[in-house]
Amino acid sequence: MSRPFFFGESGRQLYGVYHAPRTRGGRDAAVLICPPFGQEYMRTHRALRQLALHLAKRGCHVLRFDYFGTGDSAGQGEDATIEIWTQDVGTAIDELKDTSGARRVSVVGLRLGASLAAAALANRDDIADLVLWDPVVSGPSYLEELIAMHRDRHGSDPAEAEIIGIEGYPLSTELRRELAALDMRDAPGHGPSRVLLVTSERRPEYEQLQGALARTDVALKASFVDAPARWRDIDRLGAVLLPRDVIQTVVGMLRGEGA
Amino acid sequence: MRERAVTFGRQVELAGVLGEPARAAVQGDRPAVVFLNSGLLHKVGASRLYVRVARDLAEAGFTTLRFDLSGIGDSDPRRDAKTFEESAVADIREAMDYLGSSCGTREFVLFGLCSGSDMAFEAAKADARVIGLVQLDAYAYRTWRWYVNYYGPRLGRARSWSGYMKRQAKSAFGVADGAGDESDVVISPYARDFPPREQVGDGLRQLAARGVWFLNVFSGGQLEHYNYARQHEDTFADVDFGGRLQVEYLAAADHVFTGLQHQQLVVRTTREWLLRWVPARNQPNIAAAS
Repeated sequence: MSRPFFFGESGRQLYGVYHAPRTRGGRDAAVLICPPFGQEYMRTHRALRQLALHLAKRGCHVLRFDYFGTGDSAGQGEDATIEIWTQDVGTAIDELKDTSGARRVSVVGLRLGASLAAAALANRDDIADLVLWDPVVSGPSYLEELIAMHRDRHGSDPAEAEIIGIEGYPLSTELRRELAALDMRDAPGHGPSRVLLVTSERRPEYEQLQGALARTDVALKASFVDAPARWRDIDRLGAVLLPRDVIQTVVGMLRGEGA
Repeated sequence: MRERAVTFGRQVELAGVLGEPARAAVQGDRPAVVFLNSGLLHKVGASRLYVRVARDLAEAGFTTLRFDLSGIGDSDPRRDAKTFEESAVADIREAMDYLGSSCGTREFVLFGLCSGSDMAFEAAKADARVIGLVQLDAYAYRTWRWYVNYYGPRLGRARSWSGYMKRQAKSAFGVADGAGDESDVVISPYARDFPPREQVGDGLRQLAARGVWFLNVFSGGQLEHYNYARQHEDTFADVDFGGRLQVEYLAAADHVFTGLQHQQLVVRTTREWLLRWVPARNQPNIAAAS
């Protein structure tokens, strides 16, 4: 069973879909899924639903949701910031705990969702696993990639303005400033009991993040699945991505702990 | 305006977001606007366009529903043997039933981009509750002027012709540039083949005779199909729309309306179009006067 609903503060309502466990007697496992941003969010919606269905089938309570100003949630993209989105992850964790009765929650973050999840979990003690799936390690590199996609399509950089549009999605000055300051290598791994790094292509920043995580006391497991998503491929904007092998890997990693 | 997450459907659970205008009293008197998926994109629409338009219309006093057809987005797949088109039309009719029972709405406007516009057209033919269509990049057919616009600047440039023939061959055989392992990429079950022009003309004639209002917005993102403002009117010059057809051509927009300014234009055009005819549609001669 899956149930769409709104939760959170009035005026800042977040859209979520709760997937109840489909097997009885499952352990107290709850998983929050944090999606990417922009075109990546559109391309991966189906994949994250599939991930949720697989986890629910194995006895997990699962919550998918949209950040403020994205997807079906309240607000406009023009008003969205990393700070708000990071708070949204916390709100969604609390909602999932209320709904499921679970005391601890695991979190799966894809692309920018991984970066937001890592930031949101830093001061929490109720997190089991954190899965970082093709994380946006470096905000400046990510921003440059977004602008490069715009340049490839339109032949020039987006005109400098308070709000710039990248492939249909607005980025405010504040959001760009926050992205420019984002770097997961700076303070990795505080909060969750275990970090699972799942990557689908070889990138130096993934290795650097893995190195940074290895230097902390967090339990780390890394897995490479050779199924490149080509996040930066402009010709694939219309295609929906369904990386089955990666989904199976994430499900397997989470099940290994407690699901 | 407020939004609620809803589920409905007789066979499978369909998920949607219902937008309710603040002035609830107007709900039953006005058509509700229902948004239809384009391809596999879920109910927020390409570049979140559906959310923008739906919220603007709810603020303007229209009930809106953006929902996922079965098997797309947050809706479950059907288990029957219906084709995509058949199940889409059945889903759309169930959405209208739901709005009828929950909001008292008797009439509907369907809004869709690309395949969403195709399904809006199919559902409108099948269900007389549909009184208006907003179609973004609907079926398009080349006219003589399309050929002049397309080939005129290229005449005498042999390389263009050769490139054109190569592209035609590629699309015919489904070869994509740089295609690698496609197993992780999902293609929509709906193959967008434009029906014969005469068939679409017949359908439009049927809808026009029923008094349906049309807003057609064409982007400049499918120049292989559409390349000038009046092409739709030229194509269907033999259909009497009774003054209820409005066509907009956003030449600078791409097919999925990624330009924020183009999204705003679609929002504004849709609202103004609805507010122009909905309040007065039951008065005689409104069509002739508009």
